[in-house]
Amino acid sequence: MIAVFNPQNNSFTLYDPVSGESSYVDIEGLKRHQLEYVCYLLYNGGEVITDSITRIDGQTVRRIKDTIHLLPEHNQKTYQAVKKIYLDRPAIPHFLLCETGFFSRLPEEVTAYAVPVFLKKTGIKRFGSNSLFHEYMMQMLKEVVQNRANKIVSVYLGNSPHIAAIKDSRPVEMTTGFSSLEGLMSVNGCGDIDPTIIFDLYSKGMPFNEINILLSQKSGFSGLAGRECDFKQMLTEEDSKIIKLRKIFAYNVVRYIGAFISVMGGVDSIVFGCSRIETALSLIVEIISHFTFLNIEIDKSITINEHMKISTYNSMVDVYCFAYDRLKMIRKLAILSLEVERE
Amino acid sequence: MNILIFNCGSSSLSFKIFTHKERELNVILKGKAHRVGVVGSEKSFIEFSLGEEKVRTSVDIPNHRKAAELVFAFLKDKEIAVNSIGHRFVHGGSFFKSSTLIDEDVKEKLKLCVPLAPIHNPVSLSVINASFSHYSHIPQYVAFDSAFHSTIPYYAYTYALPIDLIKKYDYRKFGFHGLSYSFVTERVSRYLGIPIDKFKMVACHLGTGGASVCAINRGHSSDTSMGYSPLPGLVMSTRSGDLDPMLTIYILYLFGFKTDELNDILSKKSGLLGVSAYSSDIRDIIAHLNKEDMQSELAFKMYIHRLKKYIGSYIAALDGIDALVFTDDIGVTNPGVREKVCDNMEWCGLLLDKRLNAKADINTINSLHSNSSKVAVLSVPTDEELMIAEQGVKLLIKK
Repeated sequence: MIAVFNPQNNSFTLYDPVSGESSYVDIEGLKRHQLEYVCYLLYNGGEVITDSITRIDGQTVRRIKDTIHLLPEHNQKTYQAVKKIYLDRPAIPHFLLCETGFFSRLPEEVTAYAVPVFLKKTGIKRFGSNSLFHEYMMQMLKEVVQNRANKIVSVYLGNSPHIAAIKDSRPVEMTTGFSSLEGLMSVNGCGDIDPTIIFDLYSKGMPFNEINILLSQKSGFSGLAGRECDFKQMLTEEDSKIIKLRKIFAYNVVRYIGAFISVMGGVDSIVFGCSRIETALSLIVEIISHFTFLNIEIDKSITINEHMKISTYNSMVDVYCFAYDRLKMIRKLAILSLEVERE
Repeated sequence: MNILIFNCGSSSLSFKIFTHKERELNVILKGKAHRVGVVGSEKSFIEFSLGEEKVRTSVDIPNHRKAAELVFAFLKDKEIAVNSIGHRFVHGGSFFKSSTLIDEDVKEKLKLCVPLAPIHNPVSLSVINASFSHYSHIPQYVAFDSAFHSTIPYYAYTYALPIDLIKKYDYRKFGFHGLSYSFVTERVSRYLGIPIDKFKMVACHLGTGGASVCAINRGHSSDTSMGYSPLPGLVMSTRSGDLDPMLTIYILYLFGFKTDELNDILSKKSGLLGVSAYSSDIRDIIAHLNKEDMQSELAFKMYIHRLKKYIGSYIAALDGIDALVFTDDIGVTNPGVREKVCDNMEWCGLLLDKRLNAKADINTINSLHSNSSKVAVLSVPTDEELMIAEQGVKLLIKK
């Protein structure tokens, strides 16, 4: 049994890798369980925690404390959880998994905003988010293709979609920025908008906290659908608003993939990760159909599989779909880390 | 027939008179009022160039109306007749999808557009009013920067905001520099000898102030980097371009700025100027590279990086392109920017000829690609006033 702390719901997921079953417990509830090791998610490590995975020691705990100001709401919870459980269970390994780690060494022209120096000095930059997913996609891809994955576009499709560009095993761009609101729209988040709209709403009398709620909780798929709408509903339902929404979403994914190919100067593989491939497949095919100029060819006869290549042998770019499960990913990263330690 | 064209900048007024004869438009007078409404050490002045004659007068120009009146006085003095006046109007909102003759109804709608471009629209309106009080009996028309972008499809202009809010306030991408894109599209078609509806291109309007990129699908704009306002998109001289919306809210909280203060910072103190803390002009920044000025180097890299992202995104949106076009001051005069942007673009079939690029003539269209390139790379001088005049001729002849 392993335990994974997620600050978003301030609880642990207990995961049995043998049966694949999982359940939630709080900090107190964790005491009753035998554990192999414990993982903690940290949403923003800033420039303090720059590795994706860290074997926790006393110094790590102090460093987590130094990240709290970056994302107080979430990082504070991670800090509290680590402090308590790490001290309670010194005999087993503890891992910190940082969602910005993989992105922390991006060049400054990618991470900086074009704002005056006095604003930059406050530490604002594009941290990116969900970098664990993209690092994992890269590793999975490396297992499938030995040498043809120097330029990768990695796409997560789900309730909070995001894309990254990875060149020679290093990330070079991502859709998320200072927060995860930037980039693609999500189930409730607006994604990229003209900042003038925020000024305009404020001048029309809407206070900031309401604007904040509007953009991060009432927009995105649900905003455009005019009702609650998650990723699966967006893909499967057929009313006119949803059909339009699907088209808007697909178009934005196409644009970002194009932008990232441009930044890398080409692409070898495009990899899509999602929890249920069969639901997302038609969307993926639609997205890829915008790239005929790159001579990408989709194999329409393919049968659905957890790790599948959907492009044909003749395609100039390889396209993959991988089933993605966050717990499996976390376990794999932890195992890899333990292996490295043993070596 | 003589057509007077007014093109308002935020602190300038450009004007040209075209004479239309046997289907040709020729400039007989041009000029510009500088530092309009600007208080500073240098005095404002107005320039006229009429054939060989050049006049430069230092004079107080407190507003655009006064600048227009100086033009009228000059025309009267030189006895130059005006048969129609064409006005550039930056933002026509959802009201106007093409240029139009001005009547009372149009005037009312133009007034409603003022808040959409708070810097440009009011000054254009004041020039229109001045023109009507001076020339009450000749046809006048407006040409819109936003009109060319009225063909952008919903999937490219929609922001993922609550649908009722979008309807209530008309929040959507409008786009700018449309007159320039429209002009450039036509010139490229003529130059390449391909009908306008037979090719796809990405055009970069890189001005000394604003800059944007446009995806042009068979003669129609299908996407552009500016949005509801001219703030988003590329890193510009003093505008930040794209920002995380959460960042805007965060900064407002952190500093306790008023929204117009932050708007001012993002519009007038950011971009190249903000990052480099040296200059708002990319040419100054390029000249300053290799001087161990890290901030100027960063500003330059960001400018190129953002531009490459947008070009790539529109190449994908168009499923490949036939031409990449650079226009306006920076686009036409700056081979260094073009070379950096075109670096590593073989993936889409584009290969720049560095020699052709370096010696491009700034006064005419140039091919800059190598023989083996599948995508044409062109530098194309733009002429917004000529575009307005051409649109005017069509309107006036129809009438």
